Amino acid sequence: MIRIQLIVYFLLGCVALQAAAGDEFFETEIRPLLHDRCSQCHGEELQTAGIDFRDPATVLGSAVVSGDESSPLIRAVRYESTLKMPPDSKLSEGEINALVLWVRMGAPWPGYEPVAAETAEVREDPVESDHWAFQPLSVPEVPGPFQPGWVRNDIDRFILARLRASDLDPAPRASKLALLRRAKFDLLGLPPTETEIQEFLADTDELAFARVVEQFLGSPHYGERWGRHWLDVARYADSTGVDEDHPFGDSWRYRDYVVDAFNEDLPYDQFVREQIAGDLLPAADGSSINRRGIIATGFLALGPMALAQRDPIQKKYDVVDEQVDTTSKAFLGLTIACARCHDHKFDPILTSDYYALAGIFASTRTFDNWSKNGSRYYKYPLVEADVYATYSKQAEALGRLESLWRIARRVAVQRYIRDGPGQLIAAAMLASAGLGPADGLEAATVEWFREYLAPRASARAHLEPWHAGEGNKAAVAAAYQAEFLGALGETIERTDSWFERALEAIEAETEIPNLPSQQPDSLFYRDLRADGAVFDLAADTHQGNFASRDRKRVTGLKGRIESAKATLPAKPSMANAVTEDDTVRQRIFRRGQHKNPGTEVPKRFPLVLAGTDQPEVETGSGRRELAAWLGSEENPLTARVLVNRVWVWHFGEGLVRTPNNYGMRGEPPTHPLLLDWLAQQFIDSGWSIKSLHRLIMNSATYQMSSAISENAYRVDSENRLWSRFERRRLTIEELRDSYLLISGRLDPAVGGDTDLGSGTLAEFDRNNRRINPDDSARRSIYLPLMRNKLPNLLGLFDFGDATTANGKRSVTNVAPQALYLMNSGFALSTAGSMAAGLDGPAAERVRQAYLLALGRPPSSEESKLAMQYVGVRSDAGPAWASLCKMLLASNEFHYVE
Amino acid sequence: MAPKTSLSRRAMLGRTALGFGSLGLYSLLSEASLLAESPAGPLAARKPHFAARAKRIIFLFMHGGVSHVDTFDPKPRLDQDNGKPLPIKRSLTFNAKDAGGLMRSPWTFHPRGESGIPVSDLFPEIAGCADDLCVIRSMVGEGVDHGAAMLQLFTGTFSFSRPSMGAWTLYGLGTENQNLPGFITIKPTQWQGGDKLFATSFLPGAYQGTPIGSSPMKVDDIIESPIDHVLPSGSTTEEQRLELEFLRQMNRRHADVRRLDPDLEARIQAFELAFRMQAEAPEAFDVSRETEATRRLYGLDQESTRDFGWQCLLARRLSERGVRVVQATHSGAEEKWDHHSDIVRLHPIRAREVDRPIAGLIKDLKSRGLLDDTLVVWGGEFGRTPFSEGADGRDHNPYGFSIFMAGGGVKAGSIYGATDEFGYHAVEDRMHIHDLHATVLHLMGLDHERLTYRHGGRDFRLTDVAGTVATKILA
Repeated sequence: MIRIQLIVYFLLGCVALQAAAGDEFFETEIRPLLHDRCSQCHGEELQTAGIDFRDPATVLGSAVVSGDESSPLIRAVRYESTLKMPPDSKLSEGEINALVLWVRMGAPWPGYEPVAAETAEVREDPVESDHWAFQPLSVPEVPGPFQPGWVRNDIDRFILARLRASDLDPAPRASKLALLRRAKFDLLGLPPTETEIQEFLADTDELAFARVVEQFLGSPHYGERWGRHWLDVARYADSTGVDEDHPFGDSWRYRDYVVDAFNEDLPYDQFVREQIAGDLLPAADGSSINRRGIIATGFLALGPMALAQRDPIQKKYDVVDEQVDTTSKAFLGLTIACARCHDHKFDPILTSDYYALAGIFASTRTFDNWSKNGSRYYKYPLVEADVYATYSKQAEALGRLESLWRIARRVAVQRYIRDGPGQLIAAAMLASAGLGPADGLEAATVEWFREYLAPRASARAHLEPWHAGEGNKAAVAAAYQAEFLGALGETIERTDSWFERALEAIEAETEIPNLPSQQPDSLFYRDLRADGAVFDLAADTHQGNFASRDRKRVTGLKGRIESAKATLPAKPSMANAVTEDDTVRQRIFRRGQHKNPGTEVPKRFPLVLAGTDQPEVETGSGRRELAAWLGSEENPLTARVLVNRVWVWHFGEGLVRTPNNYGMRGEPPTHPLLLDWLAQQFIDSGWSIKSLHRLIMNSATYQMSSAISENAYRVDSENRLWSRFERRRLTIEELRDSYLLISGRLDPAVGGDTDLGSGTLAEFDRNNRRINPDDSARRSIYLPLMRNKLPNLLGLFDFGDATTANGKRSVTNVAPQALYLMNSGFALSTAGSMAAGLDGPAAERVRQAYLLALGRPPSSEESKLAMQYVGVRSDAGPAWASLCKMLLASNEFHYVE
Repeated sequence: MAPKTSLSRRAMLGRTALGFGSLGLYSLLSEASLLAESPAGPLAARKPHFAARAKRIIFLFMHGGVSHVDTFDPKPRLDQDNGKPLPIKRSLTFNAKDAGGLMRSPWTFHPRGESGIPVSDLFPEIAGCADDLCVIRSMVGEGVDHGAAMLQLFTGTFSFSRPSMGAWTLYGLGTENQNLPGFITIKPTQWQGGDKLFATSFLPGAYQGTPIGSSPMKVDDIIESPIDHVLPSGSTTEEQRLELEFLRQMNRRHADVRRLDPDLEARIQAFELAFRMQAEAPEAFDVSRETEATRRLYGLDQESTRDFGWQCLLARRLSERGVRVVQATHSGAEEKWDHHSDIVRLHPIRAREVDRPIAGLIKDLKSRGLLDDTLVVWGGEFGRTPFSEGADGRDHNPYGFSIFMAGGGVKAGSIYGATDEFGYHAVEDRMHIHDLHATVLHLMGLDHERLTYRHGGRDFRLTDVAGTVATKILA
């Protein structure tokens, strides 16, 4: 057969015909041959030597050279080389000839267009760049001297030098009220209280503001506000997002770790190292496992992950990619992930740099078992290994008993149907058609059959015998009943025999065999057993009807479950964290495609930053080495990136206005000298973020008013020179937390398990409901963040998507925000509680309302207008609530000066 | 050139100010108020790159994956070889271990209308609109599971977080009616991508889709309050007018002593706009204003079609009012079309739920003269395999499947592309999801290679670095 075809193909001369014929030849002769004889080792399951016969890119150009009869594949199948394929038995002569012919034809492979060889092979020669961000920190001289007056510390000297050069004056100092409100929102995310205002206004000492800053830095709520900033960078969320969006369950431990780190002023270099490799660092308290370090690696573990992705390698490397991306943006301000498919288009980052880092994360365990379909994320026990082993052994035994118990109940119901109501199917069918007596039948059952058997537009072939059967309906009905009972009987029998084996397995403490679950072929059976159908019977309501052997089985199992539960130790705490995995020798994936592997690259850091002289990663994933390099002052970017982030969070914009991008396409720093000087100060302070706050907040630069002069507007409308403090809108957290505080409802508890709200947060439950923020009075940082169903409120006010590192939130002003502040239950109830707390004559109430909402008394004009407004409204109670609602919706409330 | 979005009025003002440095402060101020008075801000209607064929999109999404070989892509080879093994290599399959032999379609195909497009008995009413359809039989995606396939269909990728196609469209074109959201999605799913299917990712939040309910909610759960907070609550319209007047004066006094801050101005405008939105939105959602005949046309008179009929009718009402992008998702507590088993019984139930509503929508748009510049796109996240899964199901098939378009500048009564003889792989005029996106943007007057947004130092596109416009389907 094959020979005849060969001749035909040889005879084909026309080129176009040859192409079409080539494709057909491949589909009819070659593809089936490769599939049948080769794909066991070079296909879906295994890709030995990187060859996968489903993917031409792994075959053509290497194993098969077009037109070359001495291609490795041909020599292998001819058993001419040391490599003899297939190893078990040589192909037939006809098969070998077919392959030879195919190679001679130019190895046509339908749909495959070879890509040009990528340049991205391993380059280990030095990468040079004079880009500012890659240079070591400079040691700038502080500008000056300046006339005494405005300058408060060295930051101001750098700022003033640039202002002077542009003939700009700094704005005057902000009012004390404005300063206090600015500092409290800035450090704690809340408005100042009346007491705080009075105390601060009364304190006329020169150091009054410094003292207030100190007081706020000491509050446990400081970590909630600044931890939240870092959580933006760490794209923190409580679920996997992407496709299935399963809750992580223990993600909150990482959130609390971050809050604590800020509150304790954990040195930033250590903070960096712990988030990359905390599990590998020694515990501070000398215990055998570093619980805090483990939890810190949630930074890597809590990214988005596609749990349902069916290509396990794709699944794994999408997570690796995400880890490269977030790590490089967060700590280095670089978009290294751009080099996944090709050398970075703009920055001196090579594809080999990318895969050198990817190899580190590929050797790190983020999934429970990445190669398995539907694998969960990995969870790290926060107890000693032997304690956990004891627990999991018992928990698994309990789980086995429980699944057995469920099946026991299911088969009990089935047996009840078989011996009870199943015997009445024929009678019910006849009764429903008025062809038989309804005695002894439940009316609902007869009614169900009447509806079910009524003729319908859509064809139901399996009911045709009933509808067609003119003559003996009774016999037809009996046949249906028999079909049903037959199908049910088979199911019961199969379960019963499995049950015996399952029980034995439990005794032997081995895996329970899989229950052969086979849906019976009978469509009639399936209709009757479908959800909501006549025989969809719940075990709970029919326990009394169980046969005695079933009852014995069910109660026996229940007893064993209870005693297993009684002896089960408390569930050990777990963390969503990473751990070491098998060490991967990472290859470059050409064009980012894992099916197209290239040269192997060693684990290392980007050449442009770390040079060519890097220590070899000898054992482990390489995270330990990565952590040390990232958290070191040798690295020119770590400190620069962090001090700039802190500047962004204080001032709304950075000295580098692209805080996640220090590459060629990022913005260069507006004040490069100040940036390096701050970075150096930061390192010298022992990487103390609180010291950085002190330095910044006690500067005159921070304390300027937001007023803009005409000159400044003309010369520097974007405030790149910092001639004024930039007015900023409250974040959604500040907005919601302030509303809660003002209405007296704020629950100030710090930290703890994810607040469930009204939703269920059961892990692996697809039906998680959207969390309603109104159901919680906790601070907004504690609202659970399900990536694919973030509370609408967060999206409405520019929270971001909790899926990629966010260095600076955008600010939009759109109508739906206004609708929220006018009509939402939250806005109304807040205004209502606030109004209810007002007391005294109208003028006094107005004064209280202004103080509460805006932290200042009203002017006499404002007071008059407010009283007029309340007077115009006929209904006094709602009118006061309405006034409060409008004060809280005002621009003055929503902007920090 | 990427469209300028005047997102940061401050930034834009800055550019203006620097550009016209010699102008006096007075003109700067009028510039500021002029900008502030363009109330739409980022959502203002913008000119397309070139003449658009369609002004608005209605995307009818069939969650779970409709079997193309049972609806729009007849395969005689499956009748011939029913039960025989698939003679070519199986590609990555969702449920590989239960893969069976080839399975013929239990439904019959007939050529319909003058065009003779074959449609199976599953869609008798849509079949009546055959001459308006442009059936694409060569769709290709890469997601083998629902989540990946849906993310790719709606955002172009399942590997990264990217803006949805609706957000891109709104970013490119803005919207024509400032009193309604510009991108509305009716009953989106809450899982398998969830909000990501209509989110903005790194695009500004203003381009996010506004959800109307979510699956599996029913019409009656939604109809009272379709959009959050759009109805005045606790006060009458007159009272709210007073409230807003009080607020406006307060904000005005505040802004008067804080000059040259367009953000404060923008926020004042947002409240004015919100007030107008309150007036218009309830009317737009009030389907009861339609005639009995129209309601019947969409199947609102029958239980099985009432839900999706309402979604389709609402889609028309919103499109008619200038909403740029409307998505209507056919889904429930589970994927509606995901029939891994029992497809013979279940596919007809699902088909019946959408058949009349979709046909009604096409006829209604046509009779109102809206079909010419409204692009209707129908499809699922993938098709289904030509071979069986278990005894009587079909597995996911992203390698070749069918969707259809109607109106909006596509060739009516035509078929584009083809799958192989089994209906497994698209082989002719393959239309990858990137190509679909490029084509849809093209119909809307946007060049997918020019519709870019700078983020993290890179100019991103909906179509990444791919996408070809399928010029053959353009009318």
